[in-house]
Amino acid sequence: MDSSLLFLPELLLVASIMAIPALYIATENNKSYSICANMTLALSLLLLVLFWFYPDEVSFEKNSSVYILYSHFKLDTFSQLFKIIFVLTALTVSVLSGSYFEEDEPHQAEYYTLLLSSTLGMMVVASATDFLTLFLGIEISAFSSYAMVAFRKQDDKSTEAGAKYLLIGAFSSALTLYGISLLYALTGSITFEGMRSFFTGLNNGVVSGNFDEVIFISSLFILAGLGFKIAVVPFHAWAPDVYQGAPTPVTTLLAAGSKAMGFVALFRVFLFTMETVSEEWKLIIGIIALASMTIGNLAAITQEDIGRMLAYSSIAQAGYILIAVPALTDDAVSGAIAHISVHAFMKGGAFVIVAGVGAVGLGYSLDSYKGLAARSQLLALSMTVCLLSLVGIPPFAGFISKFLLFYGSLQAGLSGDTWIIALVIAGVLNSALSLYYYLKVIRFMYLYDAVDSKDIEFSNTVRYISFLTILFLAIILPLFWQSLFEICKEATVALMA
Amino acid sequence: MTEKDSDTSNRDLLVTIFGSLALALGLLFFLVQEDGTSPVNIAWLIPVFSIVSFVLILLLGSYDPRRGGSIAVIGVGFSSVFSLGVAYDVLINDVAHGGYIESTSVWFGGQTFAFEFGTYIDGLAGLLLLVVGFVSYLVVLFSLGYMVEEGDRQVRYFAEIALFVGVMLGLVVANSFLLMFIFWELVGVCSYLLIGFWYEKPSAASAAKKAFIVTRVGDVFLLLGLVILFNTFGTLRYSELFSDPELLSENAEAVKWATLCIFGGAVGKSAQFPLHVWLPDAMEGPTTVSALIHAATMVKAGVFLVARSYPLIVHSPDTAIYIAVTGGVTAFIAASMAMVMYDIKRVLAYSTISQLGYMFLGLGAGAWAVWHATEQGLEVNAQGYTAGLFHLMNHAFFKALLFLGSGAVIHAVHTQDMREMGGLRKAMPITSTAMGLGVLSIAGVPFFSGFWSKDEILEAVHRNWGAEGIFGALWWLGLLTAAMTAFYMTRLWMMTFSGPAFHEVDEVIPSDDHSDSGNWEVLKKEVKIQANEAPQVMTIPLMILAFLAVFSGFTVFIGEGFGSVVFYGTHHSSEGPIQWGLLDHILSSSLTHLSVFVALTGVILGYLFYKRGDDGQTPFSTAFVSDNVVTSNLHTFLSNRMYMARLFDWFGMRTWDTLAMACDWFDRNIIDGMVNGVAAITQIFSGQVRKLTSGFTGHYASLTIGGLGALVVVTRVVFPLMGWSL
Amino acid sequence: MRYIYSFLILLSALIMVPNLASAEDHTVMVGIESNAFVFSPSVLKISPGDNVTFVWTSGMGHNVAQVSDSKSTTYDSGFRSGDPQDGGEWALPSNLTAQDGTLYYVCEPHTGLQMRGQIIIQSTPEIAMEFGDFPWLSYLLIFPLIGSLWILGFRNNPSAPRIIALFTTLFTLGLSIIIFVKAGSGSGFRLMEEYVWAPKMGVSLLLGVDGLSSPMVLLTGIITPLTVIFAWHEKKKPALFFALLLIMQTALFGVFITLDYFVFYIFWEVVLIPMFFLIAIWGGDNKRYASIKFIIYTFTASVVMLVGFMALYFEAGINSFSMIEIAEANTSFNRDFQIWVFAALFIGFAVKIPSVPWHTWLPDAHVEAPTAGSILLAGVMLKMGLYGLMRAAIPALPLGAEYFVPIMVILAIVSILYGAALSLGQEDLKKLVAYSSVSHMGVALLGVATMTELGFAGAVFMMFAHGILSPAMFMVAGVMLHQVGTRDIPKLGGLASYQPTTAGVFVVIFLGSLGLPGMAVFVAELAVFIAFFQSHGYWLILPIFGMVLTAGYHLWALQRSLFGPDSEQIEMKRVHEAPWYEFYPLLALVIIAAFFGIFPSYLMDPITVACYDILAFMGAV
Repeated sequence: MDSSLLFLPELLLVASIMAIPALYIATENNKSYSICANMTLALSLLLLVLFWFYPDEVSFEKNSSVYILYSHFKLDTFSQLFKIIFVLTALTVSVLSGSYFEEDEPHQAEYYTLLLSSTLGMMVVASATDFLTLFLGIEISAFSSYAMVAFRKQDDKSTEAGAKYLLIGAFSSALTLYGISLLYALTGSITFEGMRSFFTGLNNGVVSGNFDEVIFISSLFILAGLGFKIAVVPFHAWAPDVYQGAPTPVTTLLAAGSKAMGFVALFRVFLFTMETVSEEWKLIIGIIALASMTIGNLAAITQEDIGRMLAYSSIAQAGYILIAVPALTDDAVSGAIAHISVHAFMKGGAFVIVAGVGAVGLGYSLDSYKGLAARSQLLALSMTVCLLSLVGIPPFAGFISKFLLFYGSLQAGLSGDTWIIALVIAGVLNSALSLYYYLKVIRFMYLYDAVDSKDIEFSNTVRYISFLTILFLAIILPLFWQSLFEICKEATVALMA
Repeated sequence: MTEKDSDTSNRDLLVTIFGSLALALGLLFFLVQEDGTSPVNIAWLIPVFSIVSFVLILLLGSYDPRRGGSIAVIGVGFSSVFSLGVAYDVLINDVAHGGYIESTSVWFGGQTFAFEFGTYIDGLAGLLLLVVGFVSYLVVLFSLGYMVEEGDRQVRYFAEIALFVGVMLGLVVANSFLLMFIFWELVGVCSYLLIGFWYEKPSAASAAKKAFIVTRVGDVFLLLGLVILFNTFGTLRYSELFSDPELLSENAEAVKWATLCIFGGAVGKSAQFPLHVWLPDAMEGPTTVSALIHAATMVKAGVFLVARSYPLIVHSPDTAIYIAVTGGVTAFIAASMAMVMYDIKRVLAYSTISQLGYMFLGLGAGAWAVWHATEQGLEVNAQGYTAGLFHLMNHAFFKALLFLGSGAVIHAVHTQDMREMGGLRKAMPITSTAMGLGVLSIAGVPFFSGFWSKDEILEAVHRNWGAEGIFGALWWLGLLTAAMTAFYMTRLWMMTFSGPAFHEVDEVIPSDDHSDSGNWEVLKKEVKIQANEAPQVMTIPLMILAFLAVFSGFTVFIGEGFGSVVFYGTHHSSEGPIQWGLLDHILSSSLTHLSVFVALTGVILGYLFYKRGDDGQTPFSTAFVSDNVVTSNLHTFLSNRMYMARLFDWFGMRTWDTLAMACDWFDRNIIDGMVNGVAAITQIFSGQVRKLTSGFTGHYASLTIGGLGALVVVTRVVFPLMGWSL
Repeated sequence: MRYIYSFLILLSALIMVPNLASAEDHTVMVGIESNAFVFSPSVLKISPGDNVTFVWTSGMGHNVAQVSDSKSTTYDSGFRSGDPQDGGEWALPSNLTAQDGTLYYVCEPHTGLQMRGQIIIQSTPEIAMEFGDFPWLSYLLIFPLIGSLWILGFRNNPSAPRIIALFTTLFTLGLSIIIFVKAGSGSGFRLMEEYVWAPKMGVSLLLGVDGLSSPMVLLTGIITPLTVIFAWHEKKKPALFFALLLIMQTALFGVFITLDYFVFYIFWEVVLIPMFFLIAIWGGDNKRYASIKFIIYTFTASVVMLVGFMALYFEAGINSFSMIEIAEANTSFNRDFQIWVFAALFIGFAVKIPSVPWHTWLPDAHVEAPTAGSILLAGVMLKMGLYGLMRAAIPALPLGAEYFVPIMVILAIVSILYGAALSLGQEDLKKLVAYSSVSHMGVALLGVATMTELGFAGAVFMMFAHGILSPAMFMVAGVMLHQVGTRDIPKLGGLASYQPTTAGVFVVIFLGSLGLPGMAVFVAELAVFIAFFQSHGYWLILPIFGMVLTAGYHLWALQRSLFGPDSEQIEMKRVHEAPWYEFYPLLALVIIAAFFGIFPSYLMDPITVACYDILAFMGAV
């Protein structure tokens, strides 16, 4: 079959992005939109998985990559893997939204349209081969998510968060754009390949001249823009407010999907394009990693709102992941990819429960988790698994992925960049520190009695999702973590080839 | 209990006693027939019987009409019969031929080490088996009558007594320092349990604790000695350690420290100065226990230990002299304190300490003599060794007698203060006579057992005078102590038994510090002593012991003589039913005359001072003491036990409390404080850091720019300045 | 701020400037400052392929010539150096050090001065492995898990959970006895099983027992059923309680029988979770503080340990986390590396032991934990530290261990004395026992620090003995709490008159714990002290003095709580003999302690073999 079939998942999304507004004109039934979105996402997820496991059917070799759309659009293992993560997250979010919003919640059609388009943007980023496509993808997903954050117009917090997100987002996009334009001016090419070859030439003296300043500044600015996406110190400040203010399903999307997208972009830029001129950005990223894991964990300790706490925790997690970038080895990067994907599940799972608890009107403060175990063993257990997994306590998936991450980085450290060992040790100590605030929630759930003794019925969707989360984090991944590592390894090879 | 009951109970008691003894004898002969050899080969059974009976009493004691008493009698009876059998074979048949018979097997071991256990029987062990087996059995019998008022608690009592006897016998037959140490510790534990028998009495509980901890100090030294030995010679078995004198003399230094440490253990167990403080307090236990501790088991263990490690000690003159000096000094100090005590059991306690001092004096002198002789290449004669152990045997008999006697007295008059007694002679003829013999014996009056051994010890010490001056001083000290001993023992007997049955005495109530000084406050009061003779189960043991107390001394020259079976180094055995030569030597020696004179002086002074008149008053008035400043201060000083007990308590309590409190404070505030401090600091930082997110969008933008700036500064300014690079 | 400073000082106790000697290159000084006529070191142990260089320091015209044995003085054949001048060097031909053997050499001009030396070439021995025909060990891991799931099935039944738990634990007890017997006292690992998990990473579930782990397995097997019985009348969430106990048991077994660093670490951490909940849900008034402190303190230490494990894995470079293979590859670790990694591992283990100054989580955890929790914590969890030290750290990092001996000795002695002094000052019975654990484990650490067979054996034996007796002590505290509602020693008094039998057992337990011969602790202390004198001589006086303190606080506690007149502060009529479910566990523990105290060889035979193997592997014997 034709390899352009690989483009089918994206096309599906595009189709249904057009379909839903049409549906809106056709019917007032809110359910139909969510059904449509769910169907679309499920189908495209199915396709992606099929492509992954039966590549021959679509004449797609895992170790090579397919270019379409005049080679602006690259399909390789790396991009496919992340597309799976994006779509899966989006699917979770849209299923969750179905139970989160009341029947008569207005503007649901727009909501699902935006959700799909945001997902589409992420997928575009995953497949981008040049800075324009990359930027385009980022902005597609960004603008849709701005709107989604501010989706609940009647809710001040939501609108405020939306405004902030928009402003800072625009600001940092500007910075990114500036960085990109500098690179373009320097290299005269907009594609990653072209720039890479220029830098390689620069490295081995084919191209003469000293462009350190330009490279330094542009890498700095691009980092600022992407740092905003992945929310690392010092570009993190928006995250707590937005995570807190946005409707929880949207937060899930941001925490799991949009963060991963940021990392995809980061990897494409730094691990592929600018790999050969790594002297300075290595250091910068190292510093950022250190700062953001420490500050993230410290700030999380005294949070009262679960959303903010998880926001800070994902700032810290981003810090851990960044350790792998300066390591620049296959193992480290595949560790990082593993942790990104597992982190999507952990955070997603956690936020699903936050959404579930919020949806039944218990609120979003930590206190609302007191006595959750008495109300629902399943949710409490799932939350516990997610949080312990975020700490990296064995035998949960979070430990595995974090282990792979540190494993790869430490290897790089021992075999050269000794300063990375310091980063790794800082990382493990930070995970010990983070134990404190995660345990706080667990203690609240198990050791305390509920503030109010009204008995609650949680929505089945949340139950199912949390059950799946447990299944995935506590059993499947720990058992088959080698295959996880294999997959991430393939992706890495595709990325850094 | 009514007359009839007592009859029946006495009858079944007799059945139990003689039945068990007969059974034991039968078993012994049967086993010997089986073995075709001497009882020595089954010596390991000796402790086993008692220890098994300990377990049985715990399990079945409460079903026994005598609350475990009969089981104890049977078990200890078996042990005694077997130990006497072994003693007979070793001492009379001399199966060991002056050497030893050992059986051994591995306890646990690895590729580079091994610890053995087994039995090691020689003359010394035989002697101890004789003494311990015999006296313990009598004590157990005596307890049957003495403890009957205790009711169900007798179960615990008899169980512990049985264990006590068992482990002491085990200590005697052990074949390695390690096994010996194990039983040594167990002896300490049993004494802890028995001294604290009336645990609801705070004084008893703390006395028990004191006894255990003070002896534990000694035990630590002993263990240290063992460790040194093991690491120097790679074994703790007597037979291997003693086999090679050359090796020992090569490692003289190690041997010196080892023996010093071992003697440290003996000092603790045998209550020698300065670790003697626990023994008088140990009087808190039942009197029978005191009898056992003083006569047969615990304190004798120290002497046994020193005698056992003789082959090591003779290689270290320092240790020998140290032992002798400790013995002499202790003997004197204890005697001086015994002279002023009014509590009958305390007097006996101090006399025990003093007599033990004699034994160590003898052993030390002997060891030094052996070393000296080997140095000079003279013929080795360890007279002190024989003398010390001879005294150990005699002392066992008469001290058991005295304690059981005092037990009977206390049983009868329900007080321990001699000033409240007097006139018991008529009331308790058997007890008084028996104790009288005991007093004469310990006082060293000629032809009583104590006379022979004490005299030998003094002679042994005197021998060394020529070669080593310090023994002169020790000899004078010993002589003086002999006089004091005679004096205070006479005092004890006179105050207890002499005089009319009822008279006016000072009523005596324990003073506040009784627990450590044994002082009493005095008020005038009229008392009438009404006491009856103790039941037979108590008097018969007394009579047997009295007999031995008088005649055990003659063993020194009956047959081949005591010295032919218990000796160290070379020994000339001269044939003949009686050692006339030795007798003649003793009686003609001027030293003997001197000591006889001294002893008699003591007795006479005691009689003159403390013979109660018809009014029941003693001619010696307390006024005499209190009048002149010297004696009064001396009296206070001595009756406060030279304030050493106080010192020890102060040290024990204050220092350790302070230390513990200090550590506790340090732990809470410094170490734990650091842990909590880190947590607190984290909280503070966290509070600061979260301020970064102020909520104002403008701040966020400026934070981004500021962050970029900071990155630039760090990478482009700080790193180059510090000279860092990746 | 002083907190931070003192914390740094504490840390710096561990991290020192390692000196830069390398393991592969050895130098022999020909003549030293103090004496020009000796080779230093005169006896040199190397492994095959190492290089040996002779360095001349004095111009005495020494040379080096091979002789046939340690007595002979005449050079006939073999290597022979020229006579380099002062400061010269001469490298031993490498072919001579290729295979095992011993080279004797003299300085020919100065044979009269006995100027001779020898080089012992010794390759690290292989570790014997024997795979089992039947998966005993994995059953050991699976059954408690099944049991816990089974219990959760009967969540609302009042009595089913405890019955199931008892059944399961008795079953595992049977298993562990079988395993202990089957492990026997042969050299090397028995009953081994391997389940591939992540071959690409070299991670597999590698199970096996030797003389070091089989006693620990037995201990765990013994302690857990007794815990269940002791907690027979647990009212609060019994299902969760017993389920956690069983999960805990699986994790503990896992720690003791896995031979793979990765899996070892997983079980190591999994132990924390149930214990955290045991303390946090069923704990005392201050349970929140205690549980958080417990888990964060220990977790922080063990993540550092994890980094150490990874470093080991990379340095060995054989793509395997198997302890055995990494240990066999240890010749390739240079000294600095070993020292640093050992430091990382030691932090993780020292916190668990716990050794002063990392002990403060213990008293809090103990005081707040329910009796069952304390029993498992003191009985089995504390043993993980020393077990890990002897299993995971020392064989893989012999040089690091060697370097750390002084530190271990100091920490051990401080723990012994300081722990004892602290116990002396405690009023809460449980806290007293907790600190006494610090003191006892100090003795065990001392045994490890001796690096002798006797010392190792003593240490392991102490682990077992303390694992039997300290649970008994905690049970005593639990009984007192149940009966009179307080563990405050000054408030107690005169209990013995009201519960003579129970009091008798208490006394035996206390005496056993203070080292009464005939109970297990004595054997351990004896072995450790003798070994310590072997290795460090008269320093022994310090730890041996701890015996007096130990006796002191035990007896003082006894006197104040059981003996003396009746206390006014508690109502005496509530005091009675302990109920069966509290009394029989106590009795069982006493009997076990006495049994192994009287017949130590049943434990000592396997233990000594394993310890000897470890030391032989290190080349220390």
